[in-house]
Amino acid sequence: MAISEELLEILACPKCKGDIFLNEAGDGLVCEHCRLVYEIRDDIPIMLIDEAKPLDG
Amino acid sequence: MSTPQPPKPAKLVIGLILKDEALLGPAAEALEQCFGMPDMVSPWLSFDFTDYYQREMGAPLRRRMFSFRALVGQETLSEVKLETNRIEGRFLVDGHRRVNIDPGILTFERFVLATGKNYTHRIYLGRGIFADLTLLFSGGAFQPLPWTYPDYAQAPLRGFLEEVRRRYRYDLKGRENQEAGC
Ligand SMILES: [Zn+2]
Repeated sequence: MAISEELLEILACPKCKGDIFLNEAGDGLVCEHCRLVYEIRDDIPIMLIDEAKPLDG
Repeated sequence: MSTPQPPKPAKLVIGLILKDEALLGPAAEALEQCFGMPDMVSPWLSFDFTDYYQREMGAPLRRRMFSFRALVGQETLSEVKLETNRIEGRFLVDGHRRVNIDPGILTFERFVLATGKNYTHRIYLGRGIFADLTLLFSGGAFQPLPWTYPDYAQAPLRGFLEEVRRRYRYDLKGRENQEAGC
């Protein structure tokens, strides 16, 4: 897994500015509060609100 | 003779220092109105390196970093600083800042902060604003210089900027970007 746990220490949700965590598949960063998943593409977390997917989708 | 060429646009990175966490939302909103949506936001980072700010803003102070989706022309740093000064002004109480805003530009080579204060190593940009060469990218990481602000020299902040730099590479590769600004 190229995305390290370190990333979680330097990134927050751009919408609520709260904590995020890596999803089980390791291909997204999840904000529980906003119910959003920020995809990780080519090892780059796409921390854009308008490109985030709903957590329940 | 080399032919002058405009450099690539840069990633806009803005640091906020504040004591009252409730001001984060309004301050972030003011920045977003001006510079567009952020594409990276840091968690709260501790800020206890200088009592210069504590005298004005109280303690404990905490820091947040933002980078923005739209790339900016490198020559716009002084204008960005004047704009963030205006935003700071909206949060003044009795002449004291409650939010300190430090804008900088990140490129592959370096991270440069804007400041209103002259110093030996700073270069004048015009309009009362100087450029502070804060970090150099060398050997796969951002490296501090003898004058680098201590918190920019520390791991969490440099790690954040290195992640922004990866994002910058991705932006330049795959996307058209509009210029940010008010
Ligand atoms: Zn959120």
